[in-house]
Amino acid sequence: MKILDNQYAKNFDFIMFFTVIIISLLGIINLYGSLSVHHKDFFDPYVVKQIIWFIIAFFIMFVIITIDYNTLIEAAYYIYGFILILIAVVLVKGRITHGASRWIPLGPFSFQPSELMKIALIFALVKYFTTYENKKGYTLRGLIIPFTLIVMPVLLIAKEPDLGTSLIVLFIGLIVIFFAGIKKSSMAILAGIALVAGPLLWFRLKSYQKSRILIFLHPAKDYLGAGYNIIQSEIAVGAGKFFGNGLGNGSQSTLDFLPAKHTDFIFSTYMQQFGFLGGLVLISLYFIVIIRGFKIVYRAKKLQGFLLGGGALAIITFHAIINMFMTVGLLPVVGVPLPFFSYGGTSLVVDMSAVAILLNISMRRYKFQS
Amino acid sequence: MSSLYNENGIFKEQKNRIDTIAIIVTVLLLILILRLFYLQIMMGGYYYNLARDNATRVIYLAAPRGDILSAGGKTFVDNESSFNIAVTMSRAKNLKPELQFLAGLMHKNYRRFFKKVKKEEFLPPYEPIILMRDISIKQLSEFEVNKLFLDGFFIVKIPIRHYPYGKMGAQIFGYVGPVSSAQLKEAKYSYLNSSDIIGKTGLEYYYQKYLHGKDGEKRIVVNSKGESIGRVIVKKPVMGANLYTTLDFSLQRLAYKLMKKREGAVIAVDPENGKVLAMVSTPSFNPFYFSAGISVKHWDAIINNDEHPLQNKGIQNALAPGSTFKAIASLAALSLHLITPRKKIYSGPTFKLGNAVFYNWNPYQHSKVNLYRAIAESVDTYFYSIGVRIGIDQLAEYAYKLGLGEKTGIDLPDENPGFIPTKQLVYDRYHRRWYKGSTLSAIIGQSYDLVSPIQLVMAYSAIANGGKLYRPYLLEKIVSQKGGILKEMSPKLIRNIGIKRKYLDAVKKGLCEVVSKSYGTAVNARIKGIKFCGKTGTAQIISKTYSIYDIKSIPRKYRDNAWFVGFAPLKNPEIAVVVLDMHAKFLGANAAVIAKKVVEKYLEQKGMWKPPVHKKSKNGTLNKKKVKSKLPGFIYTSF
Repeated sequence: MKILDNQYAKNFDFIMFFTVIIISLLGIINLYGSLSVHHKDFFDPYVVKQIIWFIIAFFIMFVIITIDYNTLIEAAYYIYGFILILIAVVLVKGRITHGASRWIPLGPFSFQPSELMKIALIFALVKYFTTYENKKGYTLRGLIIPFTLIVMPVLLIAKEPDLGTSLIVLFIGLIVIFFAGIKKSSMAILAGIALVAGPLLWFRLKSYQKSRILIFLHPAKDYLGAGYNIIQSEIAVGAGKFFGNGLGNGSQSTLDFLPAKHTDFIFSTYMQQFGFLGGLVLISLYFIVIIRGFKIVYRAKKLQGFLLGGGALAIITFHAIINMFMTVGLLPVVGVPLPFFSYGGTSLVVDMSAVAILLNISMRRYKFQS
Repeated sequence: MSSLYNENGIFKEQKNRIDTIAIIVTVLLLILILRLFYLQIMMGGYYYNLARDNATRVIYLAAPRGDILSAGGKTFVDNESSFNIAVTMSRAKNLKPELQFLAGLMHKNYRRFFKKVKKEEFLPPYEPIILMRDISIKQLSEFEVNKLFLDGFFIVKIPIRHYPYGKMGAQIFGYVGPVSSAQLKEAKYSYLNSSDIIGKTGLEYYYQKYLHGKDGEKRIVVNSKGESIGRVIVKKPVMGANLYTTLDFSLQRLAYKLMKKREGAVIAVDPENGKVLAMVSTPSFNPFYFSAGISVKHWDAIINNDEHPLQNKGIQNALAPGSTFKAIASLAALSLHLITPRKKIYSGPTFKLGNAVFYNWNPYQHSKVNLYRAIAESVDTYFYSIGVRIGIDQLAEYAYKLGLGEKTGIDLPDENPGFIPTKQLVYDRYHRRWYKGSTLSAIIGQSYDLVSPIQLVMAYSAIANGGKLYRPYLLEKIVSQKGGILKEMSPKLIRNIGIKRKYLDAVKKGLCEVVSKSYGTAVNARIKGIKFCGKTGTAQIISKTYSIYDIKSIPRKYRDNAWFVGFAPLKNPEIAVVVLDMHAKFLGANAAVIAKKVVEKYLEQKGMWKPPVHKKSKNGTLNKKKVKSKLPGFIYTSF
């Protein structure tokens, strides 16, 4: 059996693929430019590690592309269960050692099972909806199992505590349900529940989580405290002006005023170096990826491809928009990486996997016709 | 989009939902671009500056203040480099052992160094902390030799005020000190920063703006921890402008030398324009102690001294003028036609007004005297007889004409306006009615009269120069370091006093007899070949319940104040001098000798007078023989 026959190559979305490559390369350059003045070296551990992660992510991407996504859907529940157990293990281990409970160490690297859950959840949900197909739209009763699938990891991740990731997992799940079809009356009931649950959730939040939201509303209130991050980020973005300050001249990051400059606030770093013009370029690149994603989802010929693509696209879109909105002060600070751009392996693998899934779907869209 | 991709596939219903989401995503990205437009294009400059300020720290380099010089260019106040040992925390690797080593080297207590470093902990680590101020050359060389073992320690040169003549004229030049936080908020000090030194009193205060100079800047790029990244931009400090005073150097020095051991003031002015030639106030203080922030010990010593060293007694101190006021009283009486110069009036040892008895200072007074002799001998009873005929408001009017009771406008801060009583003013100020008897006291410069030395010397200058009242001034010119003249002062006539020449001449004649006649009260102030005219005065400190007392038996601070104010020569006067000798032993006659020496020195310099070869008194003491013949051992009210 040929791994990639001509038919597949013809339908492979090269535009999306190469756009992602361009964003990734830009990300490496940007990462280099954001390094502190003390260690300006292209072979800095940050840059080297990120390049290695790219190689790993591309490898995983090609693996996913070569495997028929239907095969993956078949194994969905096992993957889901495995990752759920990993999250629980991380959580319990964190409780015992009183340390951070998000990471699993893996030699010189470490990864977050909660990130992988985003992909696993989509597969699990797709498996459920394709098994119990309902063209008239699901009622609440029909959604009990999907909701259970969503809520279990969401609660566990929220307990880590990682509210940002757990909310994103929740939204991704809801998007898949939305694509699968849901009765309008059921949707209204769900909206009602959300309205009641929102205020209740507020009281369950940890104090730092509350302050993040309050600070989002009034960043100047606590200049050196919780408001510091967002103010420094806005300064970095604004300081870029139209043309940017140039590669390596983003003082906010090179002089370490910007917190989480390699990860959550990498966009601010980029904006100071490359300015409004650079911002337009990067946003356009993401827009291309997202639009190509929509096209793939739209053209999918089977429910599996449609739902799976929708979920994968939701991951990339959510990540990109939430991250960029957060860094410019349009959303509260939540730990969400910028796809293909932020430093960090797990998120890169997740985002690349999402791209791989979309490419996989685009390649195989005529498979069942021929 | 649906039109582009609308294929008739399955789940058309669901696919339509994608359109909704695609539109939402597009709108969100547009919002993002708008936000970026706002942050980067509309607010770009603002945020750019914020980012720059984030990363730069400014260390101000103090500019040396301008020098203060005499009219002839002799330096009264300048700057010297002080060598200070400082440490930068971010560079000191082993702070504790290094501090111990340094303490051993300098023979200082290690704990004190450590405390100093601790105290400045909140400072950013790149900012130097000064450990030792103004070290000696020996200490400096010790430090330089052992520099290798002192990582992060270094020598900072800081300009500080230097006073080559120490205490001389300290109140006139003023002292400097660190700017206070209250002053920093004032609009006129907007050019200062918190580490600046400014003039606090005297000329340093009055001409602060010119003397200050432009501070330099050291800009350091720092990271978020405040560590220096090493890029430094320096703006060199520019020294302040030099201030040339009107003061005559040798006159100033002489005046201080004569007054050094006394409490009081000497002011010499040019009566034809108001230039201040000398101004001293004693006792004085060493302004150097203030330069780097005064220590509690020094401050207490100055503040608890009941002779008020900080006060410029020449302008900030108003007290009873005593008999020196008689010249003004005479002008008033002449102008009001109450007396004529030649007409003799009987003047006995006492003067009765109703039941009250007013005494003459000399109990042996028993003759009819004219105005000249009344002034020369300072006959109180002569003036009492005018006092019963003159209204206090009329008298005050003439005092005002001569500038008493108002600020002269000299270019120094905190001038005392003094007080010349009228019925209304006394009522307003003291809530007392005016009694006729008070006029008798006022006419001999007692009761409510309060006059500052500068007012008195300006009034006598006006008499000397034929009736022109000038504003006194100390500033000749301000010259920038590049040589440009920033400010120049010219004589300013306040007014013509409007008293007839013949009356002025009559009073002047009387004033000259004070010195020239054998019965004059300042006969010991005679200058051979020069017509030196003036008036002595003695102002009471305590109101008398008894009329006779022995001067030596009373505590110093209750002793009377002695005055002398005069001018020379009679025609075309060159100099006017006032001497205030507070709580003096020998009263006005001694003050006159001090004035005489100042006048002699000035005229000698001008080539108008030569000292006689024989018997030149050297130390300012009296020629006792002459004094004894005329002065009784005990003193009555006033002379």
